[in-house]
Amino acid sequence: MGNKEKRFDALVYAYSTRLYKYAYWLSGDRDVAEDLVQETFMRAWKALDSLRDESAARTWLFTIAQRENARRFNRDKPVTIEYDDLTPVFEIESSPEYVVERELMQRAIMSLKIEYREPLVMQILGGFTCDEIAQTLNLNKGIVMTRLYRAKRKLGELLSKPSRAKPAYKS
Amino acid sequence: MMDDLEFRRRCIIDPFDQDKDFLLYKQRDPEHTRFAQQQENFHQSLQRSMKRVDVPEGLAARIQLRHSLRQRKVRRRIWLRSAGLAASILAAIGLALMMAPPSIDLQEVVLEHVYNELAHLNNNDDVPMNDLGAILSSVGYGLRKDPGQVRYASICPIRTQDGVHLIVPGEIGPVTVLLMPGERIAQRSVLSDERFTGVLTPTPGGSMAILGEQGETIRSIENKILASLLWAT
Repeated sequence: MGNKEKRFDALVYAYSTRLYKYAYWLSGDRDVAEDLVQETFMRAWKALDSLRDESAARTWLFTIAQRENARRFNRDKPVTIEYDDLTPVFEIESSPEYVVERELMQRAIMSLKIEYREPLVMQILGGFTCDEIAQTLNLNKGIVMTRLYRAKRKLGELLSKPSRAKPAYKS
Repeated sequence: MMDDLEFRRRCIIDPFDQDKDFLLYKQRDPEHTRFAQQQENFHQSLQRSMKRVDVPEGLAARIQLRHSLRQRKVRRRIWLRSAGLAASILAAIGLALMMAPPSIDLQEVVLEHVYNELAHLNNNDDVPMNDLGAILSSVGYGLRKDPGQVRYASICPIRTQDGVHLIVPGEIGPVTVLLMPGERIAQRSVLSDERFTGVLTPTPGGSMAILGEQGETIRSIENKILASLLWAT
């Protein structure tokens, strides 16, 4: 196996899980998320020679995924899900209160418009700084900061409302 | 010059901001520190929620498999181009089939199908014989006798035709059986990768793939299926 193949395999095993979660929060759909991850790695293979430093791999892969998502969806129709319509994809925990809290948070995050959800997920899940988010999304840093601020304020409001969670377990 | 409003705004945006002025302002007043801590807790709570998403089993393996299938196609195209023949002409006159055993393409199709449907390996149902018979008859097959426990059975499109996807218990773990009417092959071949081992074997009018975990005894399952099915109704 050549060096390029080894590098590629190492990236797949190191980042596929994280990328899937990122893709899920961008797309709101598990099948689309897997397709997005497949497309991301396909493009990553083609551009692998441009990745000079393995320490930059996380940012590089997330950027590819973000661009794949932008290519995939018409940005005039942001992907949002109604707050009450989601079925949970979380692991089942033993405490019902814990599950309800997680469901509420998932619904709240998914209810954000994509232009707010995207920088939020990049920061919280991807660990991107505001500068890195601005560079990846090709936005002014001030706009990124404003969107992060609004996203978190909105989440704070939604999560402080009385619980609208459906029962955690479906019969 | 930072004020309370600006500080709170920056806390919400990024409570882990390492800017010197921000850090000084945070430490200047217990109320600032408390507010920053609240935002850090909220950030971490969001992070926990975002991380707690079920990732499909076998994702990394499927990515690698698809990559390796693409690479094989790329290498074959390069080989054909270097032989001085257009790939489309070769495909049209069937020369590509002469240059590589057709079962290699089918092997790749089988592996990809199995990896795409890994979740079914966890099925623990007991498919009734009547249901199994109905599924088989929809592709022109039938049941001669009881094939033993079948944990999963469904129609699956395999390339251009419907096939039947079965999961049966093996000695080590679940075993996949793909019945592929119309996918004729010349000879039996071994099918194997890092995880699975099995065979691709001709059947009347088509072929059958049997795939189990490495170390599984495939032959007995193969013989049992061959003896249990009616291959043309």
